[in-house]
Amino acid sequence: MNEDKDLAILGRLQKLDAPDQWAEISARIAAEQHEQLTKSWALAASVVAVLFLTANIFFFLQYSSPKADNIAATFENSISNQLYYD
Amino acid sequence: MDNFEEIYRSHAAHVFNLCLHYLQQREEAEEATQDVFVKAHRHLGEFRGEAQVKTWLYRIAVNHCLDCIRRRRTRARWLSFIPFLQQEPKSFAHPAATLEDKEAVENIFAQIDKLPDGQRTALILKTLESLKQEEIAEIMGISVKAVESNLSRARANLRANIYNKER
Repeated sequence: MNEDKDLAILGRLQKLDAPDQWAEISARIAAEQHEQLTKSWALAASVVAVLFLTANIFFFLQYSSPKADNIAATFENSISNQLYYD
Repeated sequence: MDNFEEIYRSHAAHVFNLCLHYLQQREEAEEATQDVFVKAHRHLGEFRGEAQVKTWLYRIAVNHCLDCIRRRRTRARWLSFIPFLQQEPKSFAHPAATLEDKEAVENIFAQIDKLPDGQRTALILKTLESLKQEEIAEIMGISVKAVESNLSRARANLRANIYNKER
């Protein structure tokens, strides 16, 4: 039978020795680990930067904006000045 | 890393030969072997030790080779639309084929390449790697019955293709 004959030919294929590629593989693994580490540091740095910016915005809004009574006083002053000049 | 080097040294030949049967080009098989071990190292933490290391590596290799073949086909399909980028198909260069068997081996591999992924994998693992059906089932993630079915369909398709070719 042709199919059996052909499969028998495949069975005769000899197993080859693999070339030694350990140097390339270990270099690729090391590069991948380094890249992974760099990515982790970059992620950590971005998180810190975002937290720092958020904290800055929070403190700016909390302590630098005029309070409601200050706004009222300013408004009253401007009104009385206006009346004085009128 | 030392343990992984041991794994590489014990299984590199199995993985290389398996990749060779799928890709039939030495350079591509060498590259695929590298990729398989890099992938295996990346997923080493996920290896639960339920399967043998060889079975686990075979599974990675089979999936990787099938991906390579799919990518190769997609690239060829796209390049076929651009006449000046069309490449000559690489000639058959399975290094394990002896000179007198080369033509017959090329013919049978051409027929195996036409089989669906499951049938091709079952046939390669059974005929070329001489694995047991239980091992093939574990590698392919299917039942032993499904392996038997894949094998018998692969043989029937192969027989039909070879018969059609000879007519």
